[in-house]
Amino acid sequence: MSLLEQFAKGDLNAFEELFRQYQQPVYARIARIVRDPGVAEDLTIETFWRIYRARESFRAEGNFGGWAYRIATNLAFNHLRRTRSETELVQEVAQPDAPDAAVQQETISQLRRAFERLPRKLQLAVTMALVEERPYSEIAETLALPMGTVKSRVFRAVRILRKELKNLRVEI
Amino acid sequence: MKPDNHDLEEVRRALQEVFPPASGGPRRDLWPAMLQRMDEDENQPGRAAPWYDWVLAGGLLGLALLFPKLILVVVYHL
Repeated sequence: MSLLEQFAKGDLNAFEELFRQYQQPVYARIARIVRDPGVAEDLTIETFWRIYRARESFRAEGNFGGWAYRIATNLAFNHLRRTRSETELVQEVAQPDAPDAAVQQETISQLRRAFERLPRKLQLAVTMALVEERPYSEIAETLALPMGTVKSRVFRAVRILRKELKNLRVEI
Repeated sequence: MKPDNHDLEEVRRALQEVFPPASGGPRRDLWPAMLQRMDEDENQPGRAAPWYDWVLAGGLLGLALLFPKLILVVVYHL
């Protein structure tokens, strides 16, 4: 019986093995979005807890990493949406020492806000393609989507982000 | 319509600044915390309604029995 089959049947040792195999990449993806090690650790545990609870619905031939990635990314973006306020953004961007830092940081904060307004499926695709720079073929496999759909989502996200930034009169 | 490479590259660069890579991994072994989380959930007293929900439901039922016309008032306002 494969590790994934054992996991799907509720074998705790199999789950631990998967946990130890995937906790680092899951943590890294979450930390890149939430920028807080403590929160990233909590969300990593939450990710695996959700995985464990849903183990019976997992197909042994499925892509465990992709599944974990989707849950982790959704949790990270949910956390951002819940916690991020305008005040936090202003505090985050304040860097008075650098001459062009204010303009640069304002650009970043506006882009972040535009990004947070994207539909979740576009966020996921553009994060993998442009932030993590994964090949489209790998993204398609992870998300269980045709490559054309992945590309289409990335391109839609890019168009939206460019448009939003132009509307905000921000030149990136 | 496909965005041109210039747009794609600019947005990629900007997003890299918004989400720079996080350095390092978890500061501790997360497996013990995982086990604790699983344990806590198993030891929770079920997902039964807390006692005050039962008191509230009982109170509402009592009111409905004592003053049946209240039901009509509530339904009217729904």
